[in-house]
Amino acid sequence: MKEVLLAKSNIRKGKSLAIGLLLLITIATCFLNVVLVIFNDFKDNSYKHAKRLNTEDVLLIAYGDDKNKIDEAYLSSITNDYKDIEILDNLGVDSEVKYGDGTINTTIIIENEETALNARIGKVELMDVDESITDNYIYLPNQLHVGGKHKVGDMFELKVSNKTYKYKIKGFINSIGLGSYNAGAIKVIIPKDEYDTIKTEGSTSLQIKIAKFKLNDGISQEKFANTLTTKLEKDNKISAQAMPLSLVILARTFISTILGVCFAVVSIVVIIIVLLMLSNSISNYITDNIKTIGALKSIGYTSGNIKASFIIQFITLTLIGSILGIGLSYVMLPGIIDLMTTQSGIPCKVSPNILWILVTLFTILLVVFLSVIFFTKKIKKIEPITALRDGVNTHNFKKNRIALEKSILPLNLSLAIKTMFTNIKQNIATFIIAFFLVFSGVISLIMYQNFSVKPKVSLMTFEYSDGAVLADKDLNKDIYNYMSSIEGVKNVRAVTSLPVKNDDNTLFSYVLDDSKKLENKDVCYKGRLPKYDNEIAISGKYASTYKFNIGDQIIINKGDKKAKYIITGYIQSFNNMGQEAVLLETGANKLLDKEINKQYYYDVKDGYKVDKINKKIQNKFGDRITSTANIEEIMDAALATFVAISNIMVILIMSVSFIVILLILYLLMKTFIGKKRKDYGILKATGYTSRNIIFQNAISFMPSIVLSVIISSIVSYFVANPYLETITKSFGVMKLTFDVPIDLMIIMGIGFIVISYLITLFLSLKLRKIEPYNLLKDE
Amino acid sequence: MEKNKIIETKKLCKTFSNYGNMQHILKNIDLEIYEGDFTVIMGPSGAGKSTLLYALSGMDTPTLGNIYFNGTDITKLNQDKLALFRRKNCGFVFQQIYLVDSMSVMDNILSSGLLVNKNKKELVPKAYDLLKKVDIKKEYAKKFPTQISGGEAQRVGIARALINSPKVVFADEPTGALNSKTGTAVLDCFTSFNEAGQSIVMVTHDMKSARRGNRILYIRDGEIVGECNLGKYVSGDPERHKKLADFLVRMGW
Repeated sequence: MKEVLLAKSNIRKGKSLAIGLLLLITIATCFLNVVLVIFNDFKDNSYKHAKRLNTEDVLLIAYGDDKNKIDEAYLSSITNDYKDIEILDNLGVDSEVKYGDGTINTTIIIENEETALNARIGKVELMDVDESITDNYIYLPNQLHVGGKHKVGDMFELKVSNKTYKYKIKGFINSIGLGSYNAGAIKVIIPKDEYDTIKTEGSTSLQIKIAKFKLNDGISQEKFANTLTTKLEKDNKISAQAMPLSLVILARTFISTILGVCFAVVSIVVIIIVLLMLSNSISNYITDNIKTIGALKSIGYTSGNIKASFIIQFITLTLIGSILGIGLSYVMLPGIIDLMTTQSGIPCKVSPNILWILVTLFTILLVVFLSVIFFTKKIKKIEPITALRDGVNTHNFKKNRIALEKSILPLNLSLAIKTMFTNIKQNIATFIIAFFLVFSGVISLIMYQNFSVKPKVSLMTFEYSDGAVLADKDLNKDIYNYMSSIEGVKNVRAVTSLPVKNDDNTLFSYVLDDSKKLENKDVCYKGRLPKYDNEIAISGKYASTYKFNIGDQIIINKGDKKAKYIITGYIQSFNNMGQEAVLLETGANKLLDKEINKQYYYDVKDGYKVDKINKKIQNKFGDRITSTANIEEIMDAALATFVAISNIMVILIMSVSFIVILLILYLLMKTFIGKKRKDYGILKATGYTSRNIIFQNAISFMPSIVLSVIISSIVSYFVANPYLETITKSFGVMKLTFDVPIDLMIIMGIGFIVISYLITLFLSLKLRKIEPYNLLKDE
Repeated sequence: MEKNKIIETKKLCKTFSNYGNMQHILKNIDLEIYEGDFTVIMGPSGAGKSTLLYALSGMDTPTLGNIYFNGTDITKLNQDKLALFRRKNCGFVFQQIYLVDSMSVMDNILSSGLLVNKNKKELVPKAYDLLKKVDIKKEYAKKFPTQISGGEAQRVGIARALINSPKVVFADEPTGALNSKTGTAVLDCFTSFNEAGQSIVMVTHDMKSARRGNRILYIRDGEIVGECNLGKYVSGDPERHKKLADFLVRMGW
C-alpha cells in the first residue's frame, strides 16, 4: 500500500514526465501491435481464404504441342504425391491490362464462367456483383479493383493477339491462385459464349491446360512443383509453369513484409527511446530526491519498498500507454490493411486479436519491468545518512570547459557550451535519440527517392526500355530488321524469357541477342554478363543458396536437353525471388529444339511516341505480333504501390520523429530547467536577461543534436544500402545501389536541427516570466 | 554634508495571495537609501526584510508604489530592462551563497563582469584584485564552488557582486550560513569595501553583522518602525554595541 502511495506521489510530482512517457509507450505499443498483426493476421488471412476456397497446393499451367497429353492418368503415372486433382482447359494470353494510371503486362488466364464457378479445387468467390449486367460481361480479380481502380459497370478491354474484346465489368473475384499479377498470372472469367468466341477466333497457341493439385500431407509444395515441371518438360513438348501456394502467397503479400519490417524498425527505435527516457528519469529522480530517499529509508522503508514504488509507477504508465497504443493501432490498421490489400487483392478485415494484444502488452511490460529493476539498482547502495546529508555528490568537475578567462567565443555562447558539458548525460541521450531518428528518416528518404522521385527501375526489373514487342518465331529475322529501320527507334534488342532448370530448381532466364545492348547496366553487380555461348550469369541469391561461385560450371536443363555453362557473373532484381539467369541466344539454343517466340525491347528517340511505333509494328505484321507494350506505362503501374508505400513511410517516419523529438526535448528540458533553476536565478540576479538565458538553454542542446544529425547522416550514407540489403536479399537483391539523396538529407538535417532549436526555444520561453527572486526562492 | 539619495521608495507595497488569503508583506513603505551608507535592515522573521531588499534591487516587483533608483522609477521597467539595470547598478550577496556550481570561481566572477565590460584585459586583473581583497588565493580561481569552504565561497560571492562596481551591493543574510570565524571574515570584507565608498544594503537579524552598518532600519509587519544611526564603524567599540542593543530592545526585538 505504501508503495502505491509513493508511486502516486511520484506520478503527481512528475506529471509531464508521466505524460511524455505515456505518449512514447503509446507510440511504441501501437507500432508493435501493427507489426504483429501484419506478420501474423494479414498472412494468416491469405491462408484462411485459401483453405475456405479449397485452393490448390500447386497450380500447373501447361502449354505447348503436347499439352493435351495432360490428364489424370498421365499425371498419376509421373507422380503420386497428390491426393486430389482437377484439370481444366482454358485460354491463356500475355497481354497488357490497364492498372491504375498505367498498364501492367501479365499472363491472363481466361476461364469460362460455367467451369470457373463450378470448380471443385481453387474455387472463386464473386464480389460486388451487379446482377443487372447480363451479357458481354467479365469478372476481374479483386486486385484490379482495389489496386487497379477498375469499377463494376466500367468497360474492360481484353487484348488477345491484336484483337481487342470489350466487356462490361460485372463483378470481381476473390481467388488465391491466379489472383494477382505479382504472382505471375491472373484469371478473368467471361460467359461461355464469349469464351468460345475468343477460342474460335484466336490461334491454338492460346489454348492451355491447367491442373490444380491438392498434395498429400508432408509433401513440399516447392519440391513437387519443380519435380513436376522437370518431368513434364523432359519427356514432352510441354512448357509448364507450376506455382506453389506458399510462393503465391509470399508474392501477394511482399508489400506487407516490407511495411512490417519498416514498422518493426520504428517500433524498436521508439522502445529504445522509452528505455533511455526511463533510465534518464529514474536517475534524475534519485539525484533530485536523494534527501527524500534518505528520509524514507531512515523511517524504515527498504530499498525494495522504494524500488516497488518505481515499478508500480512505471508499470501503471506502461499499462495505460499500452492500452492506448493498442487502441490506436486498431484505428490505424484499417488504413494500413487497405494499402496492403491493394497489392495482395485478398480481402482482409482486421478485428482485435487477443493473442497479439497480450503479446504486445506482455512484451512492453516485461521490457519496462526489467529496465526499471536494472535502473533502480543503485537505490540499494544509498545509505540514509549520506542521502540526508545532501547525498551523493554528483558534481565531478575534472576540467573547467570553456574557461571564460580564455574563451574567445561570445559570452552567452561560452556559457551555453559550459551548460552543455554540465548536462552531458541529457546531451548523450539526445545524441542517441536524434541519431536513431535521423537514421530512420534517411531510410525513409531513400525509399522516397528510389521509388517516388527517381524510381530505381534497374533494380525493379531485369531490363527496361521504352517499348516491347513479342512476336511469332517465324518473324524473328524480319522483325528485328524492320524495327531497327523505323524512324525514331533505337537499340532494338532481344530479351526473351525462358524458364530453365538447374537440378529441380527453376531459373527464370533471360535470353539476349547481345549482352552489350542491355540498358540496365546495374543488373550484373559482380562479374560480367555472358559473352559466349558457354557462359551464363545467375542470380546472386541463387549462387549464394546453392554455393555457386563465378567461374564454376553449372548444368542447365530444359526438357530433356541439358548443357554446361560457366558462371561469369551475378545478377539481381526484385523479380522472381532471386531465381534468375542470363544466357545468350547462342547459348540458349543448346537447350532448344526449335526457335521460340522472341521479345524485342526498343527505345525511342526524343519526340517519338511508343504507342505509335507499336501500332506501326502491329499494322505491318498483324496477327503475328503476340503483344506489344509501353514499358513506361507498365513501370508506372508496377511502381504505384511502391510509391504509395514510400510516401506513407516518409510521412509516418517524419511525423513519428517530430513527435518523439518534441516529447524527448520537452522531458529533457523540463528536467533540465528544474535542475538549473537556481543557476538561472543567479544569472538573472546578476543581470542576464531572459533572452540571454533562453538562448543559453536552447543552444546548450544544439551541439549534441547538430553532431548527431551530422554523424547519423554520414553513417546512414554509408550504412543505409547494406542495412536495406538485409531486407532485400530475401527478394533477390544482394547488393543494393539505391541512390542516397544528399540534397534531401541536408534539407531533413537542417529541418531537424531548426525544429529542435525552435522546440527548445519554445520550451525555454517560460523562463521569461519568472522573476529571479522566484527562481532563487523556489530553490 | 548632505548625502546623495541613491534609492527612494514611495508607498511601496507587496502583497501575496495565498490560496485566496491576501498577505500584505510590505505596507506603504517610504524609504530613502543614501550613497556610501552601509544600511542594515533588521526585523523579526517574516517581517518583510528580504522582500524589501529584493524589491529595492529590482529582483522582485512590488504590488504598488514606486522605487526610484538614481532617479529612475524601476517599477516601470520590464524584466529584461530590470536585468540590464541590475547588471550595471546592483551587486548581490545571498545567504545561500548561490554560486553556479558548474562554473569555476573565476568564471562565476567573469560571468557577471563580462556582461558590462567585454575587455578581458581590464576585467581579468580586476577579478584577481577583488579575489585578493576578499582574501582568496589566486590558485583558487580555477577551483569549483564545491571544492572550497562556505566562507570562501561567500567571499567569492562578494567579489562577484563587486566586479561591475555597482552603485549598491545588496546582501541578504550574508553570514547566515557561515560559522562565526568565516562570518567575521565576510563582514570584514563588507566593511573595508564600504570604507572605500561602496554603498551597501544588508538584511540581517544578527547583531554582530548589524553592528557593521552605520544606519539601521527596523521593519515589523511590513512597515519601517524605527531607525538608528550608529555612525562610522569602529572595531570593538562597546558604545556602538550598546546603542544598537538599546535600539533593538526598544523595537521589541
